[in-house]
Amino acid sequence: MRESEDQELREFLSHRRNALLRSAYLMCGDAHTAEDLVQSTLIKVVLARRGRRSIDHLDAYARRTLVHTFISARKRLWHRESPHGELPDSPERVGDADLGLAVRAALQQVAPRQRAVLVLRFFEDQSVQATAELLGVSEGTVKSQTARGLAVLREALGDAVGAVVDEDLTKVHEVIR
Amino acid sequence: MTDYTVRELMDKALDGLLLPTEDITDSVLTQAAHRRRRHRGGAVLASAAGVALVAGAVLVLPHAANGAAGQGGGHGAGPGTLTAAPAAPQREPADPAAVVSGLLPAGSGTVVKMKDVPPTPRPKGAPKVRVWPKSRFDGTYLITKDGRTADLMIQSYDPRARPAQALLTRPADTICGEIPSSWKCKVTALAGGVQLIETTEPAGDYGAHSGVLNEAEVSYPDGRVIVVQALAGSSGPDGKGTPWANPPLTRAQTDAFAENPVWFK
Repeated sequence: MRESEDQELREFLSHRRNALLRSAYLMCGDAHTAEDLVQSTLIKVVLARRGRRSIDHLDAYARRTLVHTFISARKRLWHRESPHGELPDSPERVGDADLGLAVRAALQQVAPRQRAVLVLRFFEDQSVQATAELLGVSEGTVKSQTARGLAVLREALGDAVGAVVDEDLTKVHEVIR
Repeated sequence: MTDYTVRELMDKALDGLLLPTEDITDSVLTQAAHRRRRHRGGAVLASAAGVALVAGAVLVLPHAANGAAGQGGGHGAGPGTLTAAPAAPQREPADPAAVVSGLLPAGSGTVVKMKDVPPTPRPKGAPKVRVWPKSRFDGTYLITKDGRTADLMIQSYDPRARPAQALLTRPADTICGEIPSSWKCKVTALAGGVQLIETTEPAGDYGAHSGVLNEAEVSYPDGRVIVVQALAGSSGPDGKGTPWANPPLTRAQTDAFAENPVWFK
């Protein structure tokens, strides 16, 4: 039993690490910090797996742990982050090659919890209900955090893109010129 | 100009991310095993501190009872006389755990300061992690009572400190708008330009298995900042023993604790 569990855990660590790393990178904006976050998450998953009889959905548990670990760490460091109350008046236009950089920078302007919500909703394709369950908040909170996060993201991107489309609502919210 | 979905933007943000090729499975399993042993060690340490307190009380009790008997004709000796016993050992005032213990409400339990562990080794080629000097009070304190453990965490910054400490800046007074409303965040301007930010995080927000957390952050006009977090403890793999039902300090007590001038003396 223990051997098969260990094998399952090893396979999980090996196969899911990169997927978690992508989400972590979007949230942290830095590859080394993202690697640290994923490593801490995986250690917690192993500890939980070995400390409990069973975890029904290892992947969901890992995702929840990743987000909680990220938010906790950011919260403790909130006073080391620059406030995003004042954004540049006229963001510079960027070429497609620089777009990735611009999006990463724009994501960092979004408050950590809102950033986590955006990553869960739009990158991991989690529903509002699933995101609410993962974060332990109401669906209304997820919706409001999504709206606020998208607003900051759009403002931070400015002229870098034509429009940011919220696919979930299948309509263009705003075109920034 | 191209329009993008949020998903497409996020895919763009991942452009250039080099996914590591080395397998860290064994490393993760080894670190998990180490951490488990360390947690067990911490629990043993906390238990040992509790046993030591009981043993100390047993030794002191007869003295206290005798003293009370001498003064009061043998009547009325009770627990209240225990704290006044002259035989009680005096702890060094400079010991951070003793200072913290002295500022907690009476009967809070034993206080043990956790040892700092060195940072996780970085991968080859990655920049080294700088370990900043910090106040001797900074760190995590385990508070054990009746076999249950709560955590008290202190983090501070003093711009006058030499060597220089890691910078903590005064948060914007709009900070409460950036964190969940369920945390009941409140910013208060105190006399002399001092700012107090208080929050209460519901169980499960600080960590996946954490209890309720009260936090107070005090920022002074001269740049000093102190953050105090009173956590009811955590269960499961994050925990250091059975957690308390409530944080070791109420919200108001956490505020008063953080505002105490002793942290910068």
